Amino acid sequence: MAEFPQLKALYQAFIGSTLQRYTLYPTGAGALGTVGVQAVSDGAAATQVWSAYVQIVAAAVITDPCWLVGMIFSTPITDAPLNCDYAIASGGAGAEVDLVEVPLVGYAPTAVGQGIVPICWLPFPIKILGSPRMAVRIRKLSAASATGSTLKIICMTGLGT
Amino acid sequence: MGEFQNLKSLFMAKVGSTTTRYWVYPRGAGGTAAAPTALGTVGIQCISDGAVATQVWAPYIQIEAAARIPSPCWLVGYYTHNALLDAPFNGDLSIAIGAAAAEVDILVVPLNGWVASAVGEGVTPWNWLPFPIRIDGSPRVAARVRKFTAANAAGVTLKIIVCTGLGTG
Repeated sequence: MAEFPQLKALYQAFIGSTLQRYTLYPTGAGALGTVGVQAVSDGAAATQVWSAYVQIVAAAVITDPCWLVGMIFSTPITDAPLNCDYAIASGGAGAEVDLVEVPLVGYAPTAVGQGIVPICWLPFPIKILGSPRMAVRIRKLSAASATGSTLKIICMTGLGT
Repeated sequence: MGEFQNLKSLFMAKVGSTTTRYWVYPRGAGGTAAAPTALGTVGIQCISDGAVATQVWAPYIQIEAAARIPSPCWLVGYYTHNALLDAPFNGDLSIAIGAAAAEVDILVVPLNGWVASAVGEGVTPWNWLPFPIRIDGSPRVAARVRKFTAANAAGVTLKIIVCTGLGTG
């Protein structure tokens, strides 16, 4: 992209765009939502070792191009607290490439307080081309268990347009 | 870097990059700066040494040794959890680069937190920096705290988040 279109895209991204959109994945059919994916260990991986990937969405589901801009990890399970790192990846099964590692510590939900779960907004979006399959994996402090949390990812379309 | 390259890098960082990556440190044993190990850690215990007085910096605690973080990389965020001892922990956090006894603070931020308890959906928030700090040469990285209370071993568990490929294609 030439110099002026790059400058214009930056301007559009931060100030001028009426076309930028935020979209959640995974989604249900049509306009339906989902609870998210169970981003959990496979129960076999040892402490601090990556577990197997869990698919977020199959190939040809996310928009092309789109930008990974955030995610939410809710309802930690099993451990007290869940203490881990997550990796969000793109690519076919067996050929995933990690795009983002983030740490996560959290307790299982209880009906006390106004515990709104924070969204993990990435300061720098990652452009994703070709609508690849998206997946997630976890490495955790505790010994083997099916611990983890529920995950949704947030993608943008039209960034800089 | 020329004017056009500056603009191009800014564009790539915020809009155009498919190669920006996020990494968590400290990592487990093994690996190199160029090929980090896949192993994780619980983080470092970023605590006072139990000897310093109130509001005085404690000694640095190493996050990663030299030649461990990628070069170049950008400090884009950090993650603190499991505050301990004080109720609440009330202090400041510094993240620094440089060899032992030659550290240079690159980030000083306030830090407050309660000891963790199993109440509510306590997902710990990430602290993303509005402006990243580029770090060249894979230096040693360390942290220290200064705190409101008198001498004790109060502090938090800490991980840092760095990006690679920022501003590239």
